[in-house]
Amino acid sequence: MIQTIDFVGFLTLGLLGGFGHCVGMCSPFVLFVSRRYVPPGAGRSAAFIAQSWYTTGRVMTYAVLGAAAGALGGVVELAGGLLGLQRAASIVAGAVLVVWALATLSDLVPRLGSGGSLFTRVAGALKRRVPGHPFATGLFLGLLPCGLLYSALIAAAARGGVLEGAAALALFGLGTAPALLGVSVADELLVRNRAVINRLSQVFLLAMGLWFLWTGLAG
Amino acid sequence: MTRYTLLGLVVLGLVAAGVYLVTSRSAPADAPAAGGGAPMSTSGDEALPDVTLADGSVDAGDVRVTLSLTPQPPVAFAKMRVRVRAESGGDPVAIEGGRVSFEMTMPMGDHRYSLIPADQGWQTAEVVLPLCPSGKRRWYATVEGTVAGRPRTSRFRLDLAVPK
Repeated sequence: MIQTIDFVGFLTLGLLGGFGHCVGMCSPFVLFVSRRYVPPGAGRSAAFIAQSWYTTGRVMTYAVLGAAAGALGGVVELAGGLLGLQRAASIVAGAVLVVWALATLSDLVPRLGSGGSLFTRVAGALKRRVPGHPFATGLFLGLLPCGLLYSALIAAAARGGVLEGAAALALFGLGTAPALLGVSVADELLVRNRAVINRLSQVFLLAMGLWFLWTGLAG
Repeated sequence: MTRYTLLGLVVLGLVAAGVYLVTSRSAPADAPAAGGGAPMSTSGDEALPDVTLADGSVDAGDVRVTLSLTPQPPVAFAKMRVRVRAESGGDPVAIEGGRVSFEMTMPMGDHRYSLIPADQGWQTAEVVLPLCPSGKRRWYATVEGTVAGRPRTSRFRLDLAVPK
């Protein structure tokens, strides 16, 4: 019999995993959300609201995946369909991060960001594909391949039941929020308004974007 | 340094402390313990019995603990049958409170299973392990329980296959 965990266990899994796993893997998306949806000078509350919408979207996607795992009662069927979808999500998310980071770094390279260049056209096309609201971005990024999410889905599948699976994964998603909101708060207070450190965060976004691209393409 | 910079450093420190606490709690031990906590003479991965393609055993003094997986190799996201047996002088001995847990270098949550007594001294558990998107396939299995009145811990390594 596959071991089951209770609802508090899912919240704890998210909470501990948030610090042990998500801070490393998902902090580039937290930085991205702040930069994409919060204009400079909009204030910390605006950043918090954007991050909350992003988290809500992510939790919604997790809940849907949890419901599917609970309904199927097994992860084998779910994993088959999910792996392909998540690889595609990884490629798109990685490409967006790369283009976004290159666009913000383009002022360091003469003529790279000037109108009419191939880079500008590609960047413009990709940017137009980025959802206009952080909630939609959260819905999409909830599909990113994630080992911790897989673990939660396995436990939810073992419990069985659509509602139970949805509730379990929603709690898991909420559990991951404090760590990522902590990154966002630190970013707002410390990094965003300092040119040199902000440059480093752009390089970090670029590196993580390349990593997600590689992960998706390498399968 | 402004008030907000200090506050930012405090928040960053709290996040970093959380990361440290969680990762230090879940990281697999480098030198695996075998038989009542005595460290093995060789540290690192290769010193652990590999149970990916064949059964593996750890000798812990007078007791030998064997771990067997079905299928071989184990496949991510698929049910895997874990069988554990302890024996002394060729005869099976009971494992009280037996459990098996799985971990890898990347924090992947709590994968801990109780072992259920089966026939011929074997204890079993049904396990499903996820795939790590980072590309790492190496997992570590830790068998714990009381054998012949002494707590025993045996560690093994395995490489998960990607589902087709």
